[in-house]
Amino acid sequence: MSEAWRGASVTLLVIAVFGLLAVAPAGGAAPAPGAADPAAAANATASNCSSCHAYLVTNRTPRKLTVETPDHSFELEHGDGRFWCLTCHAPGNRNRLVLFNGSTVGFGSKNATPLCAQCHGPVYDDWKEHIHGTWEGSWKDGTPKKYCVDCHDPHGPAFGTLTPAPPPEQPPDPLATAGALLPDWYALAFGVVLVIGVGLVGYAASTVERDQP
Amino acid sequence: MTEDVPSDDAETDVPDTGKERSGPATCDCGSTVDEDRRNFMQGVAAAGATTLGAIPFTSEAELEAILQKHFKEMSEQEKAELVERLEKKYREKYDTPVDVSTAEAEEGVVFGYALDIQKCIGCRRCVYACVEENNQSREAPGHPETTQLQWIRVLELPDSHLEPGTEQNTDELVGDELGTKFGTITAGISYEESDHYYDPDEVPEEDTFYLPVQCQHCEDPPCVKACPTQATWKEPDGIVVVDYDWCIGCRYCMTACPYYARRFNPSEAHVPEDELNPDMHYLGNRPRPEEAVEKCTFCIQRSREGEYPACVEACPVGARKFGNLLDPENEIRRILDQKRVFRLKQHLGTEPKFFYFME
Repeated sequence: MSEAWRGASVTLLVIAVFGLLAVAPAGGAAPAPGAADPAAAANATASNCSSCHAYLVTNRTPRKLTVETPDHSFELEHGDGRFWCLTCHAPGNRNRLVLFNGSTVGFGSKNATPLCAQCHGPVYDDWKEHIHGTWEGSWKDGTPKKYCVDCHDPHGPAFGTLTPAPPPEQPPDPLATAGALLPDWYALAFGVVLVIGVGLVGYAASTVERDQP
Repeated sequence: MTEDVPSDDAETDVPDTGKERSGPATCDCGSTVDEDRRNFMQGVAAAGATTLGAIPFTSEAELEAILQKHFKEMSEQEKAELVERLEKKYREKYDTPVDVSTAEAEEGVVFGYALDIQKCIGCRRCVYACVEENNQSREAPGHPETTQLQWIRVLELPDSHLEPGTEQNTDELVGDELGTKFGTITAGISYEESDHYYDPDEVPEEDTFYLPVQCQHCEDPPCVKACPTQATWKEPDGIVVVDYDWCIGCRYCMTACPYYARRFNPSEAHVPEDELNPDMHYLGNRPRPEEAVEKCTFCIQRSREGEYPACVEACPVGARKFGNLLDPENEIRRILDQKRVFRLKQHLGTEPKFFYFME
């Protein structure tokens, strides 16, 4: 409870600081417009992380994050606890992602592909050869329809479930079909024909017997 | 008999004089034969007149359809006329401009297909993409004469499992069960245990895998051998096609197919006007006439233009792969080189060009 309260107060403090910076005539290194607005913080996307983080001291200690606006408190379900934020997010510039060699790549599914390829080499090789992933266009030279993180959530890459499209219709029940096609009195007619037929056969049989001697 | 010949000529020259009819009858030896012949000729004339009389009631297009040649024997000119006639017919029926192609197989291309059964989640997106792309007949509510046809059937199968401590039962094992020293392993594809009407809220379900089945485009297709009218054949690029106009609907091919890949529509295709795909191929997705057999054509109207089939693009998990088997750099060849691949009912020797693979 106290942690949550602390997180909220930190958020408020950040917003207040940004408000002052925005109001100040020479507000430092081009503060993002609208960062003072709590609504803007709520709408923060991957492209403007620096609007807050540029003014925060980078804390490199892996820890549970509690900032709620925008939501930093989700469970990371990638890497079985080996990773935390700064494994992929660049500490120096939160608008970019960092590779193991220290160079950075931008956000966006296409840009982030080398980042995923660092660990998932065989899958990346398959993807380059069009074996993995979805491709569109021509079978001669397909173009990627999706890049890694378009399908796999980087914070929880396991695939979810989908609602299946409806199953094919069952073949019709033969008795129901017969009932629909034949008139209502078909059972009666069938019975009458059967009785007459049995009678005729019986009569024929009795005739054969009579003629025997 | 020889003296009958001029009298017959006289009869044909002056057909309306009744007196002439008694002339030949004077010859007693040939009278019955002559009457038989006359009756026969009258019958033929009547039948001919009926046929000729029916022509004004038959439209020119219908007549052309009746006299249509086999597709493989048509000249370019005849194909052009055919396309024109079909486009006119579909334009009038569906009230929208359509484009019927007769594009031929590309040189140096044999199509192959691969499906990753580890990835497939059984969502049936491919089934409905195929229905829309290929103008397949839909069922209209309240119209029992409309038939629902789907070229792709997704089977749900129980996943393999190991029952430890059951190794003593090896004598009783049947089917897909395998006794090992670790226990009994149940694995493999058992069509008897498969279900294609599965309908859970969410897929994939636990302990199952999915096996979509469609035309396998066999290199040695049994359906082609079974066809009595040569209405189905294998194209140079490996696609097994059906000429719906030459199909007589005997369904021998459906019986011959070991993959349940062919569909028969007893009524005409029911495709809503606003859902018609106007990009058609003669051997592919044009609306089928009634009583014809149809099946997957690797989306011939797309693949012959260099595009992926509709099911490949629709698959949300990227399990479906398509390409040219003759190009070593193509994805299909890389899959065959690198992955564990199997074909359905391999023992039948049909040599499918549809492969299933896993890591």
